[in-house]
Amino acid sequence: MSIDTEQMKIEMQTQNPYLPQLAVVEKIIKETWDTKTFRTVFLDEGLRETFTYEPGQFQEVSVFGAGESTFCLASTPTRQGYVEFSVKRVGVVTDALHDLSEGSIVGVRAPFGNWFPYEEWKGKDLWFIGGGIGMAPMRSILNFCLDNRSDYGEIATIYGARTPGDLCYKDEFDEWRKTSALYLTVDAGDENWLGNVGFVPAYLMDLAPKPENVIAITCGPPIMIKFVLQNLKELGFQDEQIYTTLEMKMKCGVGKCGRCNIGTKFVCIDGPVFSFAEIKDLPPEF
Amino acid sequence: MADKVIAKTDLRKWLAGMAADHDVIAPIGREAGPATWKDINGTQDIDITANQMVMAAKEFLLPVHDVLFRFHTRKGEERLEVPDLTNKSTVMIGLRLCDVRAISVLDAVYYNQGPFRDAYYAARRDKLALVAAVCDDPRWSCFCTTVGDLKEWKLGADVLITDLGDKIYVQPVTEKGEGLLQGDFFSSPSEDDVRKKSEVWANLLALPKRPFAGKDISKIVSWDDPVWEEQARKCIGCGICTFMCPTCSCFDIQDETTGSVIERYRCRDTCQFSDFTMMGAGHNPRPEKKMRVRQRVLHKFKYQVEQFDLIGCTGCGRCVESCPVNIDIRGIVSHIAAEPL
Repeated sequence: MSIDTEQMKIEMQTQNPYLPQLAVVEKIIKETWDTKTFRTVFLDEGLRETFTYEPGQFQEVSVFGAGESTFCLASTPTRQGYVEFSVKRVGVVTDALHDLSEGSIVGVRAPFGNWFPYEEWKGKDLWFIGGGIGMAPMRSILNFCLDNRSDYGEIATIYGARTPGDLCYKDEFDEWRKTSALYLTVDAGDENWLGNVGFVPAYLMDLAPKPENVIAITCGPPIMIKFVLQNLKELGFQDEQIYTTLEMKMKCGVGKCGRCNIGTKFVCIDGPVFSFAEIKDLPPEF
Repeated sequence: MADKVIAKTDLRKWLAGMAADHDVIAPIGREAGPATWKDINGTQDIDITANQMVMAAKEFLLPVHDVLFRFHTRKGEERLEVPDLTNKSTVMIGLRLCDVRAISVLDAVYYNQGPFRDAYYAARRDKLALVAAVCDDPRWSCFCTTVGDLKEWKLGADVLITDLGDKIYVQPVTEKGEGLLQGDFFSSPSEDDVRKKSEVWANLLALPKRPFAGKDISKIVSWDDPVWEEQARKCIGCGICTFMCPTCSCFDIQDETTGSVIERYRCRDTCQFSDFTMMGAGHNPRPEKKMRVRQRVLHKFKYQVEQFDLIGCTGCGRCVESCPVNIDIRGIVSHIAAEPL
């Protein structure tokens, strides 16, 4: 697939990036007690067919009247016709989203930001290391790679949550296990939990992936990322082998409102995907 | 393009002529109290070479309440209504070179930062002509000549006007500007006019400069400088510095519901509020005041220099004059300039 970048630039410069497209909520999946996954479909049939995006990109979703918030696209562009995003209930807009029912109309501005360099990863093993709602952007690239399974070597996922009830995407675990390894861990188990108990960084050390020809992708709470990074370095990973998506508060999504800068980088246009080689040069303010 | 002069008694004719096919906005005298840019309709008395405006030109390009669209919610009739962006050509007259420069900084952000262009800003900017007044009465707080080269800044204007007492010296800078200089009330400047105009420029350029490192400040400024903490101790976090600043343009986006119509608008916001970066789940990358003080200074003197090769401060002095606790950005940058390179 070749992209006419010059043409793309002209289109981006002439459209009004603040206008959302109307979309209908087709499906709502209750993932956990505080997290739901929404599947939306554009009302405009033409857009439904032409709309595409890249794994790692994000969108601005409006509940008209409540406002707009930023969510990573948690679905993969290999499955066209809809997008999915997961929402943890934390504030005004996420509350309003949780109150929606199937058939509700929302506004969507998308896609924004950069994406995971999956072309460069071809032929390599991939380790996805996610915690909590940080699994949402990882689900996009994980499913993308599983849909292009022959392009990659071994694929493994470590996914941790506080309790078994806090794990999202449980319906997909069996699917993921067919062609990749899935290592689940929780901070505290219950009587039915047979998997690992412990924090993600510690579980990573137990599993101890070898760094040769491997890319590690991590996303989760800042404290988890900090220790995952430390442990990956201990295992011999180089900064260039490690990727994450950064989260900052955003409003416009297009590099104007001035909210998401980390030094000279704006997470909305220079990110959200960064390698640790890039993050190393940023001021410590994220 | 030839320079011209116009008698002050003929000013109204010129303004009325421009108002025939432009919106003309100009400062209404500052003495009358807090003033803002007004659409003068070619009728009101104005003093186009009055002192610096209280509010910068962003008042026009980025209104404090800028409607992005209205969403009609009636079931089955859901639709977006976009404001008409095909506005009339506008002449903004009387802004100072610092404000002209500020528009160059805003252009860098709103046209070119990232792949997207801001449709609302661009619609206004594309049809805007700038008639800039050369200062003959800098304020105590001004430091434009310290942070920049006015001879470069003036190229951002379309017309330059210089007050010569009973007449005004008029210099077209762009073709767009030359097109505004129509009418038999313009005449060629005399040698004396040219000399007087040059004197105003000479006085302006001779303003005392403060110690400053130029664009090199971006390389010497230190993340861990104790100055951030020192300044933060007196800062009350009110954000007036950014509200008055001609280049600060960070905004919030909000929805307001009236009946079945939801209006989405953008409005001013500021990096000086902790809410600005506070995320839904509670994490805040800039929780301390010193971090926010640092962000304001570094955005102008480091980040924008590295992004656009432009210093994001124009030395207009508005933040200096408006700060209720006398935080003075001139002192901060002079302090930084004193650091060894």
